[in-house]
Amino acid sequence: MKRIIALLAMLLLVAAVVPMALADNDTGNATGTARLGLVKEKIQLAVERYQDALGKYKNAIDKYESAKKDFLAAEGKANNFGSANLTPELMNKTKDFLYNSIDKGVSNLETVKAWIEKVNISQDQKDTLTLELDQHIANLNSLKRDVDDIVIKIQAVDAARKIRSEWQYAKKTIKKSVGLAISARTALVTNQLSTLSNRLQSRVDALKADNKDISKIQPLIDKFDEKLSLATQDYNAANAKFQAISDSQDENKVMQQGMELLRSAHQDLKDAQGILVQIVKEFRALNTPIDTELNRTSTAIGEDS
Amino acid sequence: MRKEIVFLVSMVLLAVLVAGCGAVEKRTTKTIGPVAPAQPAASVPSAPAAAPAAPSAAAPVVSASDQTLSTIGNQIDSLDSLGSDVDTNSLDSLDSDLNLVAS
Repeated sequence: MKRIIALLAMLLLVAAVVPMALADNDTGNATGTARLGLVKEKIQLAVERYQDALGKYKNAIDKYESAKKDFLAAEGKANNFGSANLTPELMNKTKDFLYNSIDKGVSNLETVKAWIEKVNISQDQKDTLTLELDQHIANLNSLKRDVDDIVIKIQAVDAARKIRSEWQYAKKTIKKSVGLAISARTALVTNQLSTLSNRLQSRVDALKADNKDISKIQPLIDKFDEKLSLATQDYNAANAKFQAISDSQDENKVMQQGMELLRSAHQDLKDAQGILVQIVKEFRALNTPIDTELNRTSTAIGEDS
Repeated sequence: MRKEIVFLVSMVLLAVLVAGCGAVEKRTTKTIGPVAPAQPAASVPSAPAAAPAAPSAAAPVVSASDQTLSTIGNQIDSLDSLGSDVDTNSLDSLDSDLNLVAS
């Protein structure tokens, strides 16, 4: 009888533990789904913030253009601020033009910040890229005090020079940040494809150990790696170009060179993807599905908004 | 002793019943719970990488790996257009406009 009781006690234990384990598994799946939902929600939020910033930027441009037009009209026949008679009206229009210049610049920086926030790169990279932009926003806004204090013409000239000087640094930072964000995204995609290559190589090694014919698949993986290596070289060179923008005298030229290198990196990645298609076919011919590896890569690359 | 056996059997049945209800509840939550808020993200504008390849009506059955390959292809293609919506060309105009006062 004691045996029966012991058996029943065991059954009771198993009946309690097994469903708990199943429930835990379900919870894990639900957590994964919830996490995916959160990521998508975050992307959606970033897109909305960008659209909002873009709307504000367009509004700032309209106000700036209107202020510029009024300033030029107040300048009148002089057509030169230095020789124009500083009437109270011209003083007001000049200050208004300078305030709106600052607002346009700040709004432009805010738009780029919001754009970086929606690029699918790590939060650390985003924080690094937006740090400098924030500094320029603060610097430009602080120059509004100089505009407040304008009483005589030379103060207006001085304030305009300060705003212009700050903007010259700020616009370089904008170009640099945009370039580095695209470069970081390219690096993320390249790195994930390299991880995929390592996983595929492990599968090929296992096939080789099973005496399967890998004579077609191995050269393809080598070619795939070669393309990824070229892409890495290109985006590293692009990165160096973008980093050099701050100290460059001709930032537009450097920016253009960086973008050309990135385009070359993207072409390398497209070529690699073409080779990947052939690799998948070869794995299929060997009855070795690699769906899991591909899915993991695609998920890790993630969506871009 | 018979009472004890009946008691233990009842406990086992009760445990199975409770565990079964728990499992059903979890599945229901998973289906109608956390998935729902994620739906709006499907309409995120300008997300070429997210869009799976549109299946052609005449296309044969597409395997999961083909679809994933297509998604990876889209993710790579989208790199070219990244940043195209950021206006970096007009940054210089503010610079020159400020010269109207600064010069």
